[in-house]
This record gives sequence, structure tokens and C-alpha cells, in this order.
Amino acid sequence: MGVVLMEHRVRVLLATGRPHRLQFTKYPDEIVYASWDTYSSFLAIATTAAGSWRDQATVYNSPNGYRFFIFTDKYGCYNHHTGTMWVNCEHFE
Amino acid sequence: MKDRSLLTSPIARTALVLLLGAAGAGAVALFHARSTNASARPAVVALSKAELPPSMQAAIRAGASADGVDPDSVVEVGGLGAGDTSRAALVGKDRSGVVRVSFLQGFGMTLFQPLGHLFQPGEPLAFSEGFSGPQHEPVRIGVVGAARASVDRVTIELADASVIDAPLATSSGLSFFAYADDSPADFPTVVRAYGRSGVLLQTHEIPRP
Repeated sequence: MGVVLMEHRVRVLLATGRPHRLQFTKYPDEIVYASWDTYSSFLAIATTAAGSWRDQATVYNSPNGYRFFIFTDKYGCYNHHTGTMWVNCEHFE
Repeated sequence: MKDRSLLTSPIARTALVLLLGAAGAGAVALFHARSTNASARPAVVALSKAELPPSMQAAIRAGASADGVDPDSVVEVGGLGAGDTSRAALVGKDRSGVVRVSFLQGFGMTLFQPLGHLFQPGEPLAFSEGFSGPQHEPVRIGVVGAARASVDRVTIELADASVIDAPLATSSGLSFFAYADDSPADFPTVVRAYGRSGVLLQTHEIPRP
């Protein structure tokens, strides 16, 4: 139950018309996972509660993901090709 | 004569030795700082012997298991830095013996990927860049990468336009490199791969989100 409560699921569509998924799971396996087909990469991001960026990493080759070690308030993805960001939210584009 | 008398005096010789020693130590320190920041140690070590905090090793082992990789097979290749500034490639094998690779930054790691998915079609390099600090104002930028066997040399261009050779560490038929720096002038900007004949195989511009 604890795992389910701490799990966040995000669905993202990166300008293609097909759903793309981001999935967040609990610490210590905070995974930002996505599939995409328009861009070459996305940026996995960890931010403070106020939204300031802490650490980020590029992830290439869809589908793929990033596993954060750090404990912070928000994880998400940033499309650095378009400047679009999603953090702990569900999003369709 | 005055010069000669100075050089032949015990005090002068001692001072000269101390000066030369200090200069040498400074050069070593500069080289060490440069090599520490600029490139990975060309080494392959078992995960259990890697210079990583126990909590990070545990997280890597858990991640390997979740990705279908035997944690005991994981080696750290070309490790650089320590703790949350670590950069390295992690190479392991799944139950079928298939090699899978993850790129480690101190704050996290990419999922373990088989080589067919690690490299984009037709490209000899694979990467993950890590950025620490506020958006548009990173305080540290690093890159970890893998190169196919066709790559003989990898260079990294820095923000100050200088170019360094990235030492390559080999494992499972691939070469790996890592670089990180917290000085804006030394942030990596472009990675280039060259073949044995010196031909440019790939140019990769590091994004600046």
C-alpha cells in the first residue's frame, strides 16, 4: 500500500499524437521514465519544493528512464528542445 | 662571482632545491586537478570496490536488479569524482549474459540498457550529461559516454574553446569516458569521436538547458 501511495504516474505526449509515459516511483528508486519519438532526448530533473532545479540528466533513446538517488520533493521531465517542463503532474500535449 | 658564490653556498642550494620542489609539486597538483576534473580514471573495478558511498552502491545494486542485471556482475568503468559528484559508466550483464550499460552521475543513473538500445542507430557514441544547480545557471556539468569499437579517440571541447583528449577505459568491447567540471570555462560543450584513420565519426553538442 505504501508503495502505491507514493507512486506518481504521469502521461506525457511529446507532440506526436501518441501517449508518452512518465512514471515516478518512491525513494530510493525515484525513476523518471518516458517514451518519445519526436525528439532525440529528454531531461530528467529533480527540483526543490519551490521548483528550483537541483540536478538534471539527459536521457537518450526512447523509451528510457533515469533513476535519481537523491531525495527531493519533485521529479519530472523537461523537454529541452521546446522548453516544456512537467513536474509531479499529469500532462498530455 | 657573486652569482657563483650564491649558487655554491649551502643555503642557496637548499633554497634552490626547495624552489624546484615547490614548482614540481605545483605542476603535479595542476596536472592532478586537471586530470581529476577532465577525465575518468582508466580503470575497471567491481562495484563493491568502487569509491562510492555504501548507500549509492546499494541503490546501484537495487537498480541493476530492477533492470534485470545481476548486481554482482556490475563493474564501474572510468570512475571520476566522489559521492554526489561521481561520474562513471556501469557495465553489467543480464541473466542471458547480455551486456547492459548505465551512466552514473552522483545524483542518479540511467537505466541499464542493452547495447542495441544504448546507441542510437548508426552512431558510435552514447551519452548522458549531468547538470547540477539552477536552470540556466549550472554549477557543475559532466558527461559520461560509451564508444563503440570503431572509435579510436574521443575529444571534449570545453567552454573556453580548448580541446582535451578523453582517456578511454575499456570493458566488454566498448570504450568509456567521463568528464565533469564546476568551472564555467571548463564546462564541456562538444564531444567528438574519431576513427583509427583519424576520420571524424560523430560530433555531439552538449545541450545547455
